[in-house]
Parts: sequence; C-alpha cells; structure tokens
Amino acid sequence: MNERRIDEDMVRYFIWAVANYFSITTSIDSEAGTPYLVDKLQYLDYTGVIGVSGNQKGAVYVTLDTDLVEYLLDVYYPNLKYANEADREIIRADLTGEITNTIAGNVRNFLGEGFLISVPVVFRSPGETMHLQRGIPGIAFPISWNNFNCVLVVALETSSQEDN
Amino acid sequence: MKLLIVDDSALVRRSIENVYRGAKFTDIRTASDGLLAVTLYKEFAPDVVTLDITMPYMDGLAALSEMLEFNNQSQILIISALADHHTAIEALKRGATQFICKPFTDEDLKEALEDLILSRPSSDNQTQDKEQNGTNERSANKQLLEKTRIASSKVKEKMTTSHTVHPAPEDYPSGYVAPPSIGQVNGTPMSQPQPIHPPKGHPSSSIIS
Repeated sequence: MNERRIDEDMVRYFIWAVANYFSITTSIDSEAGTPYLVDKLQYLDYTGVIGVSGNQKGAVYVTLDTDLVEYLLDVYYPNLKYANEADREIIRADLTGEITNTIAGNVRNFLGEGFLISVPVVFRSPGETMHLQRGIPGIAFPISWNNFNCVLVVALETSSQEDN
Repeated sequence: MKLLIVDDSALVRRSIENVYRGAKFTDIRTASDGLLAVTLYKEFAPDVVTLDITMPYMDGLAALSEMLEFNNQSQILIISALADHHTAIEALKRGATQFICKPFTDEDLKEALEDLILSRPSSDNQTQDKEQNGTNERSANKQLLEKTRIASSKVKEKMTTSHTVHPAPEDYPSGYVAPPSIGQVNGTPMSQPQPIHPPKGHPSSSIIS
C-alpha cells in the first residue's frame, strides 16, 4: 500500500528543465540525482513556490542554499551590485523566484497549455519542514551544480493519481 | 529610441536595462506587472517593449492586447518561460513581433532585439498589413503561421527534444511543424545517465517504493 505511482515523463521534463536552466544561464551543466518521493519538504535557505492549476494541480518548489544564490548573483549578474543587505535580500528572493518560474514554465512545452502556473512566491525559512500543499506527495530531485546543491520538488496531482 | 521593459523580476529588468542603457535606447523605463505596463505604455509611447507573460495583476498577454489596442506602432518582444507553442501562437496572434524563451543569454536577447529593430515596418506598411488581415482571413492566417514557425524554430533550438513532424494540412505554409507530442522527449539533454528509463508510451508510469 506504500507504493505510489510516478510519471516517468514528468520526471524527465523537470530534469530537463533544470539542466536547461543551468546550462543556458551559466554554461555549466547540472547533475540530477535519483528522484525520490516525499510528502514533506525540508526547506533550504530560499524556496520558490509555483502554484499549478489546470490539467494538473499542486505546486513546484525549488529550494536553494544562500551560497548557491550568492554565487549565481556574483558570477552571472556582476553588474547588479547592491549597496545594502536589504536590497541584496530582495534580489536573492527574486532570483529564487525566477529560477522556479523558468523551470515550471519550460515544462509547459511538454505538458501543454493546460499546465497553468502562478507567479512565484518565495519563502525564507531555512531548516523548517512543511507538508506539501493539499497533501499531494511530491517527487524530489536532488540537483548538484558546480559543487552546490539544491532540490526541486514537484508535487502534482494527475488524473491517473485521482483515479487511484 | 524608447524601450519599455516589463517583467516581475527585478533581476531580469536590470539585466536587460544594463545591456541596453545608452546603446540602442536612450530612454528606458520599466514596469513590474502588466497593469503598470499598460499605464506606462500609454504615456511613454515606447518604440520597443520587452514583455514577460507570467506577472501579477495582469498577465503579459492581456497587457499586450491592451497596449496594441491603444497604439499598435510599438514592436513587442515577448520574453517568457512559457515555452509552449500555444503561448507563442497566442502572443503572435495578439500582435507581438517576436518571442524568445527564458532562460536566455545576452546574445539571444541582442539578436532578437536587433532583428526586431531592423524589421520595424513603416506605419504605412503596418496599415496595409492590417487592412489585408481584415479583408483576407486566409492570408492573415498564413502570415500568422509563418511567424509562428519562426518563433517555434527558436523555441526548438532551446528544446532539445525529438519532435514528430506530422504531415502539414493543405492550408498551411510549407515548413509548418506540428507541436511536439507528450512522451517524445529523448534523453540526450541529461548531463548524466538517469535512473528513469525512456517511456514506452504515453501516459507512462512506473512504480517506485
């Protein structure tokens, strides 16, 4: 009874979207570890959430460490210098939201216009654990890029799951 | 020339602004949502607009329609993470000039904006185009599909998927490529061997503990 079904295509779409993001933005490839099922999300420092509606319901989460976000800002957005920490904090959250939005948006190429996504919401609550939205189990994708780690969690309710 | 940058991400707005300030565009303004963008568009009358789609208060497609309804002389470049053909078609149908996908490089953006600036039609040509579109639906549809084909080819360059090319209906111009079917992604973009095997059909699923 603990068996849960996971859509292979969905896994591949999201792994591709993450790889595409890092490859184009940084020219450094990311690596995806073995995906696994979760029903709770352990936040890292910054977490972007995209609500999904339409043919599928649920959310897409990307949770990142500060080191990764800072590195991306310093190296790939060198012109964006901010005088104070408050501005820097805003732009870290902004980047987290943009990464989450880009990954979720790119997957729409495969899932079609029925895959509707919200604007991103970003949480700053490191180390905390939260049950996923509406109790929908998620697929966690551990991602490593340039010696940094982050986690993508896709918690979507598909029609086949509803049938079960 | 005047540029209006519309994106809910300050990072994206600043990135675009930094690349173009003082170069092609002497006057640059920014907006963080569709509603603000429409208001700004009406008073600023930009020559070029870069427009995100997924934004709060009013999305980019709705903003696009309102902008061009007010004044259709601006060139609109859609820059969106929504990388599906339907969105590209819808944006072009509403009057966008070009469409590029996020994530993008500075070179992608420069190329798109250069194309867009170079292809700026005179107001006479725009009027003629609109008259033709209004009186000849079939011709307009062909133009739209041609635009879509160009936009789709740009999308395809980024999406390393294996697309199935269906036979084009008779009415479509040559070169039409049907949208990809779900379940036809190949494994090549993966940076390392993946534990998930290629799907044998769609929808496909496997069981993991």
